[in-house]
Amino acid sequence: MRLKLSLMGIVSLAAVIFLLSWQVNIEILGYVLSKRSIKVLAILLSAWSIGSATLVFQTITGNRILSPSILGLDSIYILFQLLAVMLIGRFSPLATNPYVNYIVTTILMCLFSSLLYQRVFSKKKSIFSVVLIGVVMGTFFSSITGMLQMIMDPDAYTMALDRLFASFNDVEEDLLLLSSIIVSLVVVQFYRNHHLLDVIALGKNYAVNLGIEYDKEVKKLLVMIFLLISVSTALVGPITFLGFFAVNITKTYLKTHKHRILIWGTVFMATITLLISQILVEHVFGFGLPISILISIFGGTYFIALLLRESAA
Amino acid sequence: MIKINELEKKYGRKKVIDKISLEIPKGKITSIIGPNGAGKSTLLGMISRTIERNGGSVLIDEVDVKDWENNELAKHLGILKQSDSVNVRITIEDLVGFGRYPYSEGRLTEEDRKIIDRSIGYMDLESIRLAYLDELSGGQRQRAYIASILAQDTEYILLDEPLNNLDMKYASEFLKILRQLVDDLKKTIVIVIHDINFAACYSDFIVLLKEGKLAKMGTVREIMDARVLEDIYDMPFNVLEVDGKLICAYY
Repeated sequence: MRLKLSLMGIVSLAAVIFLLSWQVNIEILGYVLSKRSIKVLAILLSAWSIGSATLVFQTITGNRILSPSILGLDSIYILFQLLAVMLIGRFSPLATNPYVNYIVTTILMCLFSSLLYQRVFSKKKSIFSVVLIGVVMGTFFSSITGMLQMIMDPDAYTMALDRLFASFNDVEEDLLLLSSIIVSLVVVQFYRNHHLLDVIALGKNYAVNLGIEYDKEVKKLLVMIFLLISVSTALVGPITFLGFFAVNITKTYLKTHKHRILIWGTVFMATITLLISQILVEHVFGFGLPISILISIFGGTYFIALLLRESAA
Repeated sequence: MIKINELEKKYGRKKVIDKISLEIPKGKITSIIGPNGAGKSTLLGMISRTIERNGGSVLIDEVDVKDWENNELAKHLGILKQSDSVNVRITIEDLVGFGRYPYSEGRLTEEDRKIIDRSIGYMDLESIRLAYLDELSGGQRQRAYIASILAQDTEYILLDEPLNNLDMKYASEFLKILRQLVDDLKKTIVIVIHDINFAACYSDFIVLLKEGKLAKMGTVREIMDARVLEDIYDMPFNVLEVDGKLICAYY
């Protein structure tokens, strides 16, 4: 187990080094490295947040094919980006200034999700009601988005489009630092609670029987998931399927239920997936393909394969 | 002692448990029986705080379950529900190890390991302790779940239809183990059970529920009376005495 985990660590490290050093021009080494390290850091950050958030989300829901994007956070993000360009104008600070955009979107997503969960939890509904409401809200927001895309000015749309696909090539340094602090704090918090996560994975009845304050703990974990997803989406854009892909591959590979190992496994696996996709985007497709599309192709195929296998079994 | 007072549960406007009051004595096996839909599992769920109640109170050792520290209660009261199935791929040993969570929060001590071994031995799972739950037969899995409740080492053990999936041999062995736990270790066991004859042979008290109400509670001899049972189940009964045990023929 330890061996497999270290192997995953080594592969991610190798990919990091490759991305940093491949075809580097020695004369402008400092400049290139600083540019590239920002990119790599942004990748690590997304991998950490999306990977661990999806793992914990699946543990809470006891379902292997769900991911937190089902809660509709991504669609809120997209809707907001379109609205910002359309209503406030494409030259307003909200659309052009990445800092303002980042802070406002993060706050908005956190606000929405806490509203959602608060309403739902105050009525003592189960986690599945939360998921269901999330799905409905997500569809609702995407429908509005679809309508807006139809009626909006094509120039403005092109501008907004840029933000709708995840990209690691234009990330702001200061925002990255702030996000890294938030993300690492939350992931460490997950890790410190790994025994608790093991028990929550057994289901509500078990957890309550073993003396866990289930509702309170799940609420706390959900808030942390919201935070992770909001931060990473606002920074680089939505990447569907990454979490799902990383968690399932990790579970199949490591064959364990212990979150102490699964957390790091998932984080490494998400890192490897993102890094390799980025390498492909840069060196094979020559930046012609957005990374999120590449990952959706991987992840989507795997998703369908898993569904087919489950239904066959 | 478990003291239940005017306990109520409603789903919408339907009362599933209607003002039940009773006392479950310490150091005994108490069986809850009754027709389908009588509210047996709901009653057990409310005693164990896994189902919210709508009124009344449940006192365990004089303290309401709501006022117990969750972790502390987990060391005094363990429950196994009929619907519980784990969809995580774990071994028997892991599952039984989880029973120690209230004590060690996942970091197993030497003491914990001893108790885990003992519980596995008790349920006769020694030879398959490293097998995964999804590889087991229904009966083996049921024994594994029960071993994890034993590892939790609680004074009160609540079991919701634990005989499901057990054949006659394991069912009667299992009830003998429960008897031992009560007689030797002074545990208090409350069990929801369908087979009235198992209830009669192995328990001390029987609680009879019907349509959410307490029909009668008493010793086995008081309940195993053809007239009482006919009233509850709406069918003819014939109670026989075999080897000093009361057995009901109802075919």
